[in-house]
This record gives sequence, C-alpha cells and structure tokens, in this order.
Amino acid sequence: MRKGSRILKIGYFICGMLFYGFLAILLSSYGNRPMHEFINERIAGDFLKKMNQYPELKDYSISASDKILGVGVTVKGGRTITEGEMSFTFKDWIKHGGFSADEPEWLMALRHFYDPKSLDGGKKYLTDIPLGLGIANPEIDIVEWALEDQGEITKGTTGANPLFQKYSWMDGKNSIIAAMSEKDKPIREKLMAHAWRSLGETLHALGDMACPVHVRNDGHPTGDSDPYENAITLATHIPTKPVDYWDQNLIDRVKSKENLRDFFHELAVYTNENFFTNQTVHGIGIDTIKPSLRPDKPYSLPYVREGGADWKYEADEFTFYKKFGNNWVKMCKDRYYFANVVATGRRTPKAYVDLDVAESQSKVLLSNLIGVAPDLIRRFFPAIKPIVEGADPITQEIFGTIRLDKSSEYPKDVKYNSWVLVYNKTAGKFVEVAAANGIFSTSDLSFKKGDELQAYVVMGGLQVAGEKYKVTDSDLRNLINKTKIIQIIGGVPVKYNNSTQFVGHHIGVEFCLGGEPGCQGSFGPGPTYTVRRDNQGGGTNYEQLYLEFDQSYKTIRRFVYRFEVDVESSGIITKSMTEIDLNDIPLYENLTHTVHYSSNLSNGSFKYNFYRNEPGTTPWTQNVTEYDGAKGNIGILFRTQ
Amino acid sequence: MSSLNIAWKYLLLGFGVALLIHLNPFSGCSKEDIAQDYPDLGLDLARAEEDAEKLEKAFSELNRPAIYEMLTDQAFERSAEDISLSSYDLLLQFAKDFDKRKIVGYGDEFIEFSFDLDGLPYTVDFALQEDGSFKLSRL
Repeated sequence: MRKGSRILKIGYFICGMLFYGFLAILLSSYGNRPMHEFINERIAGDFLKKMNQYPELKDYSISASDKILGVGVTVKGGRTITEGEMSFTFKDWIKHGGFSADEPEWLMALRHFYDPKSLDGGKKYLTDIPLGLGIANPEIDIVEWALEDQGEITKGTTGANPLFQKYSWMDGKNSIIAAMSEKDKPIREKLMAHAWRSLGETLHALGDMACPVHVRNDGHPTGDSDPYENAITLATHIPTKPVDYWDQNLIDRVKSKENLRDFFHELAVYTNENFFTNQTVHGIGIDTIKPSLRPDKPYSLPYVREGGADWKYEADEFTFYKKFGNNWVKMCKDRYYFANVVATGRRTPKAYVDLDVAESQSKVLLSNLIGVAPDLIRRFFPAIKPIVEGADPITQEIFGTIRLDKSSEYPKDVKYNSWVLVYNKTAGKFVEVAAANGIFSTSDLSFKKGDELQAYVVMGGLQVAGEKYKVTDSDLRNLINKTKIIQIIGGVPVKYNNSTQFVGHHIGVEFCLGGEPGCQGSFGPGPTYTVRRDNQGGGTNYEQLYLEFDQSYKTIRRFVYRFEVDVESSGIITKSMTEIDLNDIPLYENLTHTVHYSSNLSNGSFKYNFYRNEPGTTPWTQNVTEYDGAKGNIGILFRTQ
Repeated sequence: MSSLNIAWKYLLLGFGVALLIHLNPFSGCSKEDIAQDYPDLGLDLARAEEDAEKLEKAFSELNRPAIYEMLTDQAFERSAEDISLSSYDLLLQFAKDFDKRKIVGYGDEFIEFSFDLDGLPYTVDFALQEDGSFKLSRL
C-alpha cells in the first residue's frame, strides 16, 4: 500500500513536469510565424472587439468559430505560387493574407514598395534593385498593386515571370458583391474566403506603409537585409498598449481620408518623414551623416541631430533619440569599433540602425498601424440592411427587403440575390429563403401576433442582423407600403323618391416620411398619387375609383377610407360622410362596416368588405348591398403589381 | 480529500522543478548549442555561428583578405579601409572581444551579435546570403 502511494506521488510529479513541457512547447511554437501574420491577427482581433462601435456596423458580427473553405497558399515559393483548399475562420483568413501577400516571394518582393516622395525621378515603385537579379522590375508600387482601384493590373503580367493580381482590395470587394448574388452555398463561401484573404493581403500592404524600408525605396534584398523586419519577429514585439505610442493626430488624419489611396499615402508619408532605414540615415552627428544608399540625394526628413526640437543625443549610449509624443525613440547609433578612440571617442559619421534602434522605432510604427488599420477593415463591409417589412398573421406571409446602400467603397447599385435567414426570435425557429432583387417573402415560418421576427444575412462567418419586427394584426401600413395601386371598385346606384342619388368614394391617404409623428394628410388627390374615376357604363351612377401611387412616396402612416354620399333630393344636395381609419380595423376578419346614412335618407345601411388581392381570392366584394331595392358592390383592392 | 491535496502538491512540485530546469542558465545558451535554444524563425543558427566563427578566426589570424571576404558590399564600403588601417593589436582585440559574443536577436535573414566593449555592449550584424552563408553586414 505504501509502495503504491510512492509510485502515485512519482506519477503526479512526472505529470507536473510533463505539463510544464507541454506548455513550454505550446508557447514557444508561437514564434514560428512571420510578423505580418501576427500584425494582421492583432488588427483583426482589435477590429472584432470594436466592430459594433462603428455606427454602420452595429448590427454586424463575425463568428469566431465558423470556418470558411477557400483557396490559400499551401507551399512557399520564390517564383511560383502553390495554392490549395484551406478552411479558416475570418480572423485566420486575415492572418493567412498577411502571409500569402508575400507569395511568390521573389516576385512579390519587387511589388511591395511605395515611395510617397517619389525621390527617384517621380517613381513610387522600387528602383533600388540589385543588378543581376534576373527578374524584370514590374514597375508597380504596392498601393496600386494592393488596391487595384484603377482597373485590372497589367504591369508585370508578361515576360519571363508574369504575375497577376487576384487578391486586391478591389478583387475582395467584387467577391463580396458576387457572394450577395450567389445561391450555391459552397461557391458563396469560397467567394467570402477569397474576400477575407484579399482583405488580409491589403492589410499586409498597409503594414508595409508603416515599415521604413518599404516607403524609403530601400530594397533590402537577401544578402543586404535591414534590421527593422528582423527586429520584430515575435508576437511579443507587438505593443501591448499601442495607445501609449501612437500619434493621435496621424491616426485622425489617416482615418479622415475618404479615398483609400490617400489613406495609404498619409501613413507612408509619416513613416517616410519620421524614420530611417539602416542605409538611409541622414543628418549631422560627429560629422555630416550621409546615407549609404543614394548619398547624394537623401530624403530631407528626418534629419538626425544631437539636439534641438525633439532630438537629443545620449553620449553614454552613442544613441540619437527623437521625441514622439511622450516617448523618446531611438533613431540611430554612431558607435564604431574601428573609429579613432582618441579623436572621436569611438564615434563615426556612418550612423546606423541596429536591432535595438529598430525595436524602439517599431513601438511607434506598429502602434500607428494598429491605430489606423481597423478603419481599413471597416471600409471593406458593404452597407447591408435586412428588413422584415411585414408579417400577415392570417396568411402567414413574412416579407421584407435586403437593402444595400451605396457607399464610397460600394458606389454601384447592387441587388441582393442570395439567402436570407428569417428568424422568429420568440419561437426560436428560422427558415432560409432566397431573395430576388433584394426582396424576400416566405410562408414557411409560423408566427403569431406578438412574435418578434428578424431577418439576417449570413455568409462567410459574417452575420448582419435586421431590426426586430413585432407582429401585429392590424398594421395596414406594411401592406400599404407594398401597394402600388389601391382600387376601389363598385358603386351603388340608388334611387330615392324617384330622385337620383349619387354615391361617391373618396380616399384619403396621409403621406409621411417614416417616423414623423403626427403627420397630417389630406383628402383627395395629392401630389403623390392620382385618382382616376371610371364610369363603367353599367349604370348611371356606377363608377370606379383608382388611386395609383407614383414612386415618390416612402411610407404611408395612415390610410383613411372616406365614404361619402351625396344625396340629391328635389334639387337639394345633402352630404353624408363616414371616415374609417383602416389602421384601426381588423382588416382581415371579413370586415363588415355599416355606414349610416343621414336621417333624411330614412333607414338604410350600406355594407362593404375589404379584401386584398391574394391569389385565389375575389379581389373585391360580392357583398350585395340593398337600399331601396337597389343592388351594388363596393370593394377595395390593394394591388402590389 | 487529503489524497487530492497530495496529488496537487506533487503536480505543482513537478511543474516547478521543470520550470527551474528550464530557467537554469547552465542548462543551455552556450555558443555551441544556441540553435537548440532559440525560436525557429527559419534562420540557420548553426550556420550563422559557423560563419561568425570563421570571421573570428580571420581576425585572430590577422588575415585581412579573409576578413574582406566575410564582408557584404555595404560593410566593405563602410569598413574595409578602417580595417586595412587598423593595427594588428586592434584586429586581435576584436577577435578576442568577438569571441565573447552573444546573440541579441535575429530574423529569417539577419542575425545580430553583441559583445562587451569599454563596459558597454557593442553590436555587429550578419546578413544571410543567397548561397546560405552569412556575411558581416555591419561592424
């Protein structure tokens, strides 16, 4: 028994050690991924946290667990790209885009530069290319490459190493548009995976705008690597509290740019004007500091110096500092082993950037990137508004629209033609229905008065929720909002004391813009509809009234049917009138409403019913009305087409 | 209840001992086995160390052509003249100082070493070349 207990203790002890080993392996394996993936992952995470703070995305959410099958890069390559099917969450596709944007590496390496100063003869693309590289310069900068906002890219698509852009910002947005018209779900998911990967690749491009070598025309090829990208290799290099380092003015300036080119350019200018690469340090220290790259044509900014506004030199560290907000950032060093100890104190005018300096700079640069990048993701989403517009508890029909509002990123008129999820929140049941031209309807989801209904668009892990719609049994507005023609049919030829009495029908409609309380309407023909009165010729006083809406109305708050009888008797006209607010009556309960004539018409009543033009129903009443032996019909017909 | 406590106690003890072994500076980090002690970022640490050793040897043997051979174009432009003008003593001193190097950090194409100079750390950089070797890109 004692021996057993000892073995057990040793077992626990070994388990503890193994558990530590497991944790150590798990955590250290984090270090195996390139920085762009870490940054993209961080930015996507930050975006998801604040997504609902953007007013236009308050009803948007993105699943953390839904995996979307698409095409990713499976094998790294120099001149060729190897792709295959992969399944990732939204966040992991963004992360993957951080990696795939560099593939195939040799060809992409020439396309990932943007000089906002166009220092080399007005060129923004990379010109610092080593001789004998064996690959032609595609002469395209990364902003043009990543955004593809000026038409399909043709530069670099011919010759020995052609490369076509398939994952630009524009390509990604086009995939979202295509997904919104795609009913085949696997295809739709592939389109969304493509969109997310394209977004990730665009984020990579934005990341390069915060990387000095990429905005200072410093090619840094293999064999001549720059310290900056080698200094920030682990997730731990990403600032934990970027707000302490970022430049709020810059962030506000970048985010205010409506055009994405300007968005990228602004960040590139800031990085270019404020940071060095190892080969472009310029200024004055122990002597004039000339950059080793283009020494006769340096960037004018930044200009390193030992003192003055926002600059200082720490002699015991041999380090130049520049102030960014409240932080002093290391800009370069000038300590040199082979410098003359007596004459210079081991200082050199060949100042340089080492890992220590690069890491110090990265705190500001990465923080700025983290500050602006979520706004780029925000712009990627189209304005989708799923709306349940009505629900008829009698016919069990739910209808609505998927509204796609235009925006600066989605300026074209697009109609939604894919799946809509209609959800009865109260009952916890849903159905999927296909929309056509943005309109959907279904009778497959049961509901009752008082239930809350919602429409959703769900694709590629993205979910857009519509506002809740509460089912009532007398809300005629929904019907009227769908109605194009309201037709009142019928008439009653009546005679009284051998005199002809005319029966007329008038409709009053209040036209209001949505949500305006207490709007007042007017009776009779208004500016937004026309009334046509047809004499059917069947009887002297038999007539039809048509009310046809034009396209200018938005919402009808109230609909009033006014029944008016003009009685002519011995040359005297007496008016009798009844108004019914159709919102107040239970429309679909085979309404019978009695209109009482004025007292001088003796006792009589007039009955009419309201119907709507459901298929298979009689569009207007056959309800016989009798008055003094006369017979007639009256009905109202709502026509939606 | 008491057997559960014992289980936890020994689990924690095992965890703690493993942690101590991991943190022990003598359990790794020597120049010889650096490749096993740093995260794999795609850089061949063993090769980097081998080429650093080669540079150290060139300095210690006062073999200037071999030193120049180990310099990238940028480093050659920056330092070749200074090396040619340096005394043998200084070159030997560099070899001695460089022998005490430690890795500051590295990426997939670049590695930085530091050693003590006048009581302060001094850094030198090596860059990966197309053929997989490393050359001194700044000293």
